[in-house]
Formats: sequence, structure tokens, C-alpha cells
Amino acid sequence: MIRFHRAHKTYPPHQIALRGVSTVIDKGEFVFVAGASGAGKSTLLRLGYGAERATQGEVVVAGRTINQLDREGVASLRREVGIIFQDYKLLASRSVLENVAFPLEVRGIGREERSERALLILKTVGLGDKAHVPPMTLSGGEQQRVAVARALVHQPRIIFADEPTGNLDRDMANLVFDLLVEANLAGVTVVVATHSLSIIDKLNKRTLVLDRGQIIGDYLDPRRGVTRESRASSGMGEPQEVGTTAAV
Amino acid sequence: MTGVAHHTMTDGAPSDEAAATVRPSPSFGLEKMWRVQGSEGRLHRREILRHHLIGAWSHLRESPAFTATTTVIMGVVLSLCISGIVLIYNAHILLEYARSSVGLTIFLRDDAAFESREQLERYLRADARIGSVRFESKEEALEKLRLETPAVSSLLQGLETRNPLPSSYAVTVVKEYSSPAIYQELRRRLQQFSDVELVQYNNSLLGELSETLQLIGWLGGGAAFAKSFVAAGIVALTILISVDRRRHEIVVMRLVGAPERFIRGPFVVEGVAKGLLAGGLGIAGAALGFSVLHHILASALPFVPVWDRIAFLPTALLAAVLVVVGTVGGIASFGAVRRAIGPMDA
Ligand SMILES: Nc1ncnc2c1ncn2[C@@H]1O[C@H](COP(=O)(O)OP(=O)(O)OP(=O)(O)O)[C@@H](O)[C@H]1O
Ligand SMILES: [Mg+2]
Repeated sequence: MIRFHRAHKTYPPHQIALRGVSTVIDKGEFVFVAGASGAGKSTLLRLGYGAERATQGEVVVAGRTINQLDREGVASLRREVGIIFQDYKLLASRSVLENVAFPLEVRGIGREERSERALLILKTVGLGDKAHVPPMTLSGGEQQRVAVARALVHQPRIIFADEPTGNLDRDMANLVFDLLVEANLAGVTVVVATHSLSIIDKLNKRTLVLDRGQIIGDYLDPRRGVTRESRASSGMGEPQEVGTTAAV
Repeated sequence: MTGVAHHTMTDGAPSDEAAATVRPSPSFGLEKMWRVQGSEGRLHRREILRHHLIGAWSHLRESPAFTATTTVIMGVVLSLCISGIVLIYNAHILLEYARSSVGLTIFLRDDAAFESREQLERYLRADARIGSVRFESKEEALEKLRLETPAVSSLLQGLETRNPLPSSYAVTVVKEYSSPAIYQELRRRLQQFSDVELVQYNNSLLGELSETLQLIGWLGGGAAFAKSFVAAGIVALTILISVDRRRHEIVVMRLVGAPERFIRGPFVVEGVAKGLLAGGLGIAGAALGFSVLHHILASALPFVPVWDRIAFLPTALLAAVLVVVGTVGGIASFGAVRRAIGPMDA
């Protein structure tokens, strides 16, 4: 589903963000991307949804080679993914419902159908009663749920979430992650960049740890510190010495 | 996907107990919802068009003062532009009229001999450049003067016996030869006949104006052309500003995978609408200016025989003007938005 092969990213003029990242994320996986600030988490995601191109190497997402996509190609990719940001990126001039229906609107889906579908997903995220208010009147947690609803409304194949709970308190963060986990259970591949060790520890999903633009750990069971290599070399469940917390 | 523990309401501190107790996930019903709906909708053309129109309308409405100011400025520029076209158009009409109506009047001596008159007439009929030839006797000339200037008709009483007006030939020149040079040459030739007293241009004002008219036409056309660029520039500028204000919206559109035409459509429609609006204003302004000027000139210079001939632009030409400004508005905004939207940033 997602494949990075020796991907390098240098922002002009020479700010190196990624140095030779190689990894594969399979369909249906839930993957955290962890690492210190500036480690390259956002850049990794941006390469994934086509906001940046690798300066070297290859990134393939949902069967598309990102470096070869033109604008329409990127747009078409994005119609198959959902993207969630720390700052929600909602449109202030539109109601909550219209925000959620936006991905359907750009597909040219009729007004009635898209309102119906948007309302359904709003109810799913617990905001059925806020459909017709402007998003700016909602709390941060509610706004992020609107953004999650927008990312999910068109049944994406992949969700990219960059620090989705950075601005939220723990309860709200948990609610957002519950939604992402459910989307994942329903078959959506989920990639989340986060600083939050507690959430990684809690969900205990595969975690890529980045440091200065390189993957320094690929934990399949971060709570026990099981990396891909350790599992491959010594069979299932052999705990590794270094835990997630230590690695990050 | 086993062992997914949800700690929605609990602390994040891990414990083996928590990991072991697999609580049922609090289902939001996503899967069921997607199963019912399917993920892909049909692409409705009508829906996209609606989006463009609504988008453009909301751009225009968002800041009425900005829309009004820029549209009025464009309207003024376009009205100057259209005035230029009116100028060319009328210069053309008058030029045609001048060509068809300018002729020469050949005044004869009172003592002209019949033979020499015949000789002159033969010459006039033979020259291919000369169109119609009409003889006017002394009596006819006096009668005409009487009719044309009733104010002096009383003064003309009793002139019948010693009529001071000469008899004359009024000749026109065939349209293809109608140029100042030919007039001059013909005039020189005719002047050489012994019984010819004087050769004059009739309608001489128009005759002499014809070159000026041509010049006015060219200048008006050039100015209109230049101003149309100014108008297109203003459209492009307002679209740039419009795009700039909507940067956030464009980013979000990009995020959710809007096709390029979906993003640009409203701006292009906005440009077309602004072009048409300003074009309408421009036409109204030019028409107003035209009728005021026409009125003033016609009453100030009533003896210039052109006022009933010049006209504002015909409807077909006005429609063409609107089509052109609409198209230019659309193209200018397409170019502007293409530049302004920039990278596929998110
Ligand atoms: N647009 C940009 N232009 C130049 N340098 C950039 C740009 N974006 C990121 N960088 C640099 O690339 C490196 C990686 O940035 P990135 O945003 O991917 O880190 P991050 O892991 O997401 O950090 P954070 O946790 O603070 O969000 C940093 O050194 C950053 O300064
Ligand atoms: Mg980041």
C-alpha cells in the first residue's frame, strides 16, 4: 500500500529532512511515526500524500509513484486518502456539515446525497447535533472530530494524520484515536505521526521511530520493545532490550 | 489486529492487566455505514457547474465594496475603450458617406458659349472617374437658395431679372476613385476649360475631413486596444487578490483532492462575470457620453450635415463587445489563478 525506498528529502536550499528512508506499510496496518521534533515525521507523511516529492529515491502510495504524479494525479490520490492535521484545517465560511461533505462535493456528488452521508458520519463521531453551526463555535476536540469525519466520509483507503491530537486533552485525544482504530478495523490503512509516547504505549501498534531523518527503529510491539529485526531473528515475542521510551 | 485495547476514559499508563483485558471496541458504526453507502459517487456535471457558479457568486459577494470598486474602475476603462470603438465606427460611417457624397461643382461663366458647354459635357461623360453629372441653371440655383435659406428669401425678391448666381455642373466621383488626390487632379483639369469660372468641392468639409476621419479611426482603435489590456490587467489583479484571500480554502480543496478545474472554475466564472458586469457598465457609460456629446455638438454646430448620420454602436457590435470582454475576463483570471495557486501545497 505504501512503500518508501531510500527516500531522501532536502528542502531548498539544503535543509535535509529525510536521509534514505526505506519501509513498507501494508494494507490495513496501523502505524505510528514517532521521533523528536524535527526528526522528519511530517515530511515522511507529506511525501506520502504528495505534498512533497522525494529528492532521491522512490515513494509509492496506493499503486502510484508519487514522483511521477502531476497535479491531477496528486488530486486523484488524495481522493483516495484522508488527511488530518493538528490544526484541523476546517473552512470557517462553511457549516460543520458542509465541511464534512467537502470531499464529496469535489467529486461532484449531489447536494442531497452528500448531506445525507456527511450527517451520518457526523452522528458517528458524536456531532450530529452540531451539523449546522460554523466550526469555529466548536471546541478543539469537536473541531478535530469534524476533521476526522471529513477524512473518513469518502471511505479512504489510507489515513494520514499528522499530530492529530496535539492540541487536545487526553479524553478528546482518546476519542479521536478510537475513531482511527475503528476506521483501521474497517480496513483503512492508518499512518499517524505523533510525539505522544503514552498513546503509542496504549495502542501498542507498529511504530517507526525517526531520528534526524532516518528510521532508527521499527517496533512491531512497542510496549515490549519488539522490533521487526528482533522478531525476524529470534522468533515471535522475544523482547528487546530497548523499549520505545528509551529509543525515542 | 488482536489485543487492541481502548482506554478511552482511563489513564494512559500501561499495565499488563489493561493489555490483557480486551474490551470490546466502542463501535461508531463506520464499517456498517460504508457498507451501506459505497465509497464512490457519480460525477455530476451539473453539480460541478453549480459549484463554479456558487463559488463565483460568493467571491463577488464576500466583499461588496471591493467588487464594486474594481468593477466600476473596469467599467470606466471599458467605457473609454468602447468610446474608441464608437469613434472608429462613426469615422467609418462618415468616411463612407463622404466618399459617396463628395463631388465637384463646376461654375460656368455667364457668357459661356453653348459649344464650349457641350465640349465640357462631353469630357465629363467620357471620364470614367466621374459618376453622375447634373446641370443646374441660374434660375434653379436661385430657387434652391431661396428654399434653403428662408431668412434671406425676402432679400432675394426681385433678383430674378439680374440673377447673380452662376449656372453650374454638379458631378460626383465614382467611389473607387474617391480620394483627395483625384479630386485635385480633376479640379486642375476642369479649371482649364475656357468657360469654367471656378471648380469647387461641394461638401468640402467632409472631403477635407476624410483624412482626419481616418486618423481619428486609427487613434481610437489603438487607444481602445491599449485600454482593453488595462481592463484585462485589472481583472487579473482582482483575481489575484481574490485567490490570495482564499488561499486557505484552496489548500483545503487540494487536501481533499479537488480537481484543478474545480479549484479554478469559480475564479474563472468570477472573471467572466466581472468582465460582463464592467462591459455592461462601460457600454452604459459610453452610450451616455455619446448621447450627451452628440446633443451638445448637434445644437452647437447645426450646419454640419453629419449629426443625423452618426450613431452609437449597433446591437450586434454591442453583443460582440460583451462576448469579447467576458472572454477576456475569463482568460485573464484563468492565467492569474494558474500563477497564483502555486505549488500543490497542503
Ligand atoms: N518547508 C520547509 N522548508 C525547509 N525546511 C523544512 C521545511 N519543513 C521542514 N523542514 C525541516 O525539515 C526537518 C524535518 O521537519 P519535519 O517537519 O518533518 O519534522 P517533524 O518530525 O514533523 O517535527 P515536529 O515534531 O516538530 O512536527 C526539520 O529540520 C525542519 O526544519
Ligand atoms: Mg511535524
